[in-house]
Amino acid sequence: MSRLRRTGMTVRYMTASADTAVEELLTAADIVKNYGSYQALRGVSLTLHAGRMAAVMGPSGCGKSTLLLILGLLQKPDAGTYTGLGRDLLSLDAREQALFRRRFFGFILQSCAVFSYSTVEENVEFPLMYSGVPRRERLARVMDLLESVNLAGKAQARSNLLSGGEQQRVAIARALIGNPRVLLADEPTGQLDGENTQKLMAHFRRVCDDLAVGIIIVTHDPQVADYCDTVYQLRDGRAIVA
Amino acid sequence: MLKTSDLLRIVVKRQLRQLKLGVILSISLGIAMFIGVDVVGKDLENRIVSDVALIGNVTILTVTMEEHLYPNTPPHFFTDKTVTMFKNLPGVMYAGLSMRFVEVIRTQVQDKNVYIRIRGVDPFFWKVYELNAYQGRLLNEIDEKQRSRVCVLGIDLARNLFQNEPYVGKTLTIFNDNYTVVGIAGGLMMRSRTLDCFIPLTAASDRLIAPNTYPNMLLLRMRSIDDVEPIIKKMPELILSQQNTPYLKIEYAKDEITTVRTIIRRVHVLLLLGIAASLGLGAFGIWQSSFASVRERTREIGLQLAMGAEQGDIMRQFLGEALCNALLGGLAGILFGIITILAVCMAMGMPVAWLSIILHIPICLAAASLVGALGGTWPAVQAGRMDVASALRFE
Repeated sequence: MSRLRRTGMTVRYMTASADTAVEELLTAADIVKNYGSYQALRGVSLTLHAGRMAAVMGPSGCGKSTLLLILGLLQKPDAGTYTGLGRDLLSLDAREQALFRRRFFGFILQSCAVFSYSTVEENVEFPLMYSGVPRRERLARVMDLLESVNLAGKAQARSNLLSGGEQQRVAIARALIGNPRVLLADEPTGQLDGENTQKLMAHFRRVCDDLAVGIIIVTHDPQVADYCDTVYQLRDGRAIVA
Repeated sequence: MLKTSDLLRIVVKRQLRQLKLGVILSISLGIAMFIGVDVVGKDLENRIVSDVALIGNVTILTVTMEEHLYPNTPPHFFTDKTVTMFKNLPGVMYAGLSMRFVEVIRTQVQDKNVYIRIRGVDPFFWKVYELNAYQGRLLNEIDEKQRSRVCVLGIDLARNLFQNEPYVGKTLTIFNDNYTVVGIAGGLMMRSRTLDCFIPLTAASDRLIAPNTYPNMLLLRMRSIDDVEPIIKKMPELILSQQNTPYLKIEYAKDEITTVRTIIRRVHVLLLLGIAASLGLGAFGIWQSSFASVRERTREIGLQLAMGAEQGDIMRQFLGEALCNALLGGLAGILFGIITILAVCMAMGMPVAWLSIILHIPICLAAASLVGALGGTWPAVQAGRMDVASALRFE
């Protein structure tokens, strides 16, 4: 499998050497989701490994976001199986699902990248509050992560006053603060220009490689898909590996 | 579950950054009115009622011996023992004595007939009617004790009798006795008494020639209108416990008491309506702004739930924000209220009831919290029950 890696404007190709030993993080099989009489997903199957980045592409209304919500345990499928880190995730109750999300998942959304009226530091700190991490430890981890996304100098800045690119970096930091195994991103580059898109994807790639995080990105943008190890095309409610 | 300390930090910081001034102002107005009315309202009300009551005579009781209506009955009068007993009763502010009848004499001043109504009074008469010395002084205990031939005149009588001021020091002849004018009485309750001549009750008993020049009229000034009727019910029993009294007549302004009570009740209702309207407006403001906030932050709520927040966390956050707004309004209201109380006390020369103010602070904060809870609970429940998928898709 070839892996496309870009840093800034430099593009180079690498070959993964140990794919067979990579841990399987998520496996969804034959996922079905209906909205009334409309069949959004008609048996989607998808696998995500640690350190791999998968793109889900397809036309508007094809069920990309629905699939992401199901994978993120935010919506229940009507049929199918879904396992994550060796557990049957569909058998969890709401509280267990919330706990699983808190421990293993990170989310990045197209809009609402940041919480309004909160500082950058508070935004990134949020997930750790739900996990009950002590404040001192939280702040240390937040500052480490903000340094890694070059936002340490803006820790006390009001997050809604940042540029779109900076807001997405805040969102990435917030998604990564809980050391998730899986990052789920819905159109993360939707509001970014070409240069910022490349920077963001380069950052995702680093996260993927350095931290062995599995990333699923829902996108329209072929440029984003170029960075991913696997690209799923959703057509007629089914996923095809491109 | 979000720790309470973290929740407080998030909520307070957010609300301070996004102050909802209209809501805070409305609640603060209600709380300020509440603390102001409750702390100084009673004192003010007592003063107003006292003034209104005095104008309408509603706190004044007159009790007279009526033996003259029954032939061959010896004269009766109120003893010192009886008067002292009344003075010591809790609802009685002042007790004084006077004569049931006045002596009227005629004199000529520059070919003009002037009628003088002479009334024997004790030193407490002035206090009962809240009269004061317009010139000179009023009759006192020394005059009473020494049975002095001194008099206090009403202003109209003084003008009729003497051409020029000062009236004090002039002499008035009554039944061949010369009385020195020591003062001119004035005050709201003088009314027709501006044509009267007041002399010590003891001197009246000694020197006037009319029958029954005894202290046969008891004057009572009660502390409030609520004290009037209870004492009237007990009056015969109280007097009989001190002296023999076959015939008594008690006069008081029953209709006026009812009118004053109605006025007070209306003022109370008006004030309560004002407080309720202001706090209700605050609660509505919180309800509306909380709903607006929930709508505005729908995707944010979805993201929080996605990150692992529980429904309870979201509910507590929104309820906390509503309570925070209400408490900010409550604190501002307490501050405004205290400033108002200080200003009123200073203007009216009343002592500041600090203990009462301190005791009202927790009540005000509880009232503000109740307003916040009333306005914020339902929007918070709605926020907590939000479907994550719908919230994340919300545009």
